[in-house]
Amino acid sequence: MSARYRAMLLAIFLVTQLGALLGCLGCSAPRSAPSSAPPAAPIGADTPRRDGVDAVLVFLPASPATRQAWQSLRDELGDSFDVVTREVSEGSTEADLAREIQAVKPRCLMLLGNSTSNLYLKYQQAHAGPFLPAVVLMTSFFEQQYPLFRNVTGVSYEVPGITTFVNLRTFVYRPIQRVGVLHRQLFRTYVEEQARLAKLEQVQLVPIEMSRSPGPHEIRKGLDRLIHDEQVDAVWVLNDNVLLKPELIAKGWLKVLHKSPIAVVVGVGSLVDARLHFGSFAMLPDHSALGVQASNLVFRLREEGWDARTMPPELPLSIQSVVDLGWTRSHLQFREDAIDRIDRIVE
Amino acid sequence: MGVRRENRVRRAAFRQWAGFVLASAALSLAALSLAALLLATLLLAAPIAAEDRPRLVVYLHTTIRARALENILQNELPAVDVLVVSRHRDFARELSQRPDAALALQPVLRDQGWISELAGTRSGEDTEPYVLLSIGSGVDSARPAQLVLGAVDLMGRERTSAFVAGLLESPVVPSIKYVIKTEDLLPLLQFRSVDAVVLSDHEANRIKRISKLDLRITPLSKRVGLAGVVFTTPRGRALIKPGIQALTPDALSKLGVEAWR
Repeated sequence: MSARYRAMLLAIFLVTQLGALLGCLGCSAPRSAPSSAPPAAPIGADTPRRDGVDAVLVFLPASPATRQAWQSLRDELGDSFDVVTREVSEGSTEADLAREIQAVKPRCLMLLGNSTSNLYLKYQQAHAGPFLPAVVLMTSFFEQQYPLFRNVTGVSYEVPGITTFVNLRTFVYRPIQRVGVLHRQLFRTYVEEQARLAKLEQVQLVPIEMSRSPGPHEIRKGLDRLIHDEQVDAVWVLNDNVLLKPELIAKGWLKVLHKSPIAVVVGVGSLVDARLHFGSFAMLPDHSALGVQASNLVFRLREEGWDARTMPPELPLSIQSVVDLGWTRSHLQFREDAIDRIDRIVE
Repeated sequence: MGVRRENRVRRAAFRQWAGFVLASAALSLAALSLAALLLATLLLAAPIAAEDRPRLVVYLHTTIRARALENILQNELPAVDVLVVSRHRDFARELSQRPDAALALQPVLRDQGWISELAGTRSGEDTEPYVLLSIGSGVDSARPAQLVLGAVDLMGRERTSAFVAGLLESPVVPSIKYVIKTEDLLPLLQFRSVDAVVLSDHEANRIKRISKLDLRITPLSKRVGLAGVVFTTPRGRALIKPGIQALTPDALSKLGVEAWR
């Protein structure tokens, strides 16, 4: 293994793994950040309960991303409800959830993050019900998990392809009509649904299915086919850990993308990196907006008698965008007027 | 925003502390105190000057990010401390800090009990038409109770509901899904989450240019005031107003206006 390759693997490991640890916030030096982010308040700094005011009980793991969503929830719901917050940690059990629900007696639950929704699923499996209405957010591929829950609604975490492609169109001059995606069989239904939505905006999704555990060669072959045979205008990278292993990025994705530059849109901020030039753009969920969207669901639940069964999960409406500016300027017909519409610039 | 506020608090605390130290020194060591005072004046001059700059708070939903708008305005108003917020809750918080001027849509300023001293104009008008934007066919705005609408949360949920009902000239408040950015209205339509979205004709046409959906515009009869400015202190009027009146056409266009009246 050459020193150069080892260095590249280390860089990829750092941007992928640290990025995940930091809540996908990106570890390349950002040039600008959203201006109007409210000042951080410690999670759980709830206002005192008021007599006769219904409570919304929020369970969440502590992270910068959950804090942003929680703050927005608190702002939106605070006038109408008492927002009671309980932190979930690795050691939390469904019995802890049960105890808090019993003690707080909320009208509704808010469940933020994978660990919380998994815990709540265990809670539902261990109890007979009936269950309070609950709103799930910031849970990966929640739509797949949704049928397992009872009296639950929520907002999916993945930015829909349609939102990604429409935004991409406004960032580059090149028309975005065909977008390629590599996926595993596990994601086939998801990709089909995304293709249906993308068609509304006259974008054709071109999927290539990979094996369960593809190697670098299979990634290279798939990408080559998308770029050269299918002539796609952009490549959309799914948040699938198996396809984003550091070795696959180094020996698979980058080998092709560095030779044949094309707009690559990723769903993890740290994959837009000025050293690697993997993702040219990232489209990420806007956590403050997620809080507003989840609050909309709580108000709607109140209007509809606190019954979540008729309210299927919603898709996230709002994104934050990141760009690898140098690369996109050099290779991708970047629209200079888009800079002011992009949340974070990596150089 | 939080960091800037924190810096202000730190600067204020530092000045208090520095003031106490300097006063003590002046009493005990008359000769040295003069030098210390001179030095302290030099050291503190910059932060005090920054703190003493008049403050302008801007709350607008524009096509560009708040940080970008803030940079543009700050460059054109170097003697003013400019803060751009994009959520009503943040605007309300900033107003409680008593800025010297506020720039927002005229109905937002009116909601705070203010009348614009400068009203932005476009094509000579200080108001603009609002519309309903929907997919496929127009919507019947005369039956708002049956509509689910999307809207940007301009003034907090309750008052925005009343504002939208007013636009529809309806005593019935329709069911509304709120977003915090104008661009998020398009996904509401794409996902069929609403029957229509409420927005300015200007913005509706911008969305129509971006999207390939079959979008239809249903005009509403009421017009809404463009961006306006109020000056809440004499120094705001004296120091900020001339700068705002001298903004370049590029900066004005970012505010959605062409001139001031």
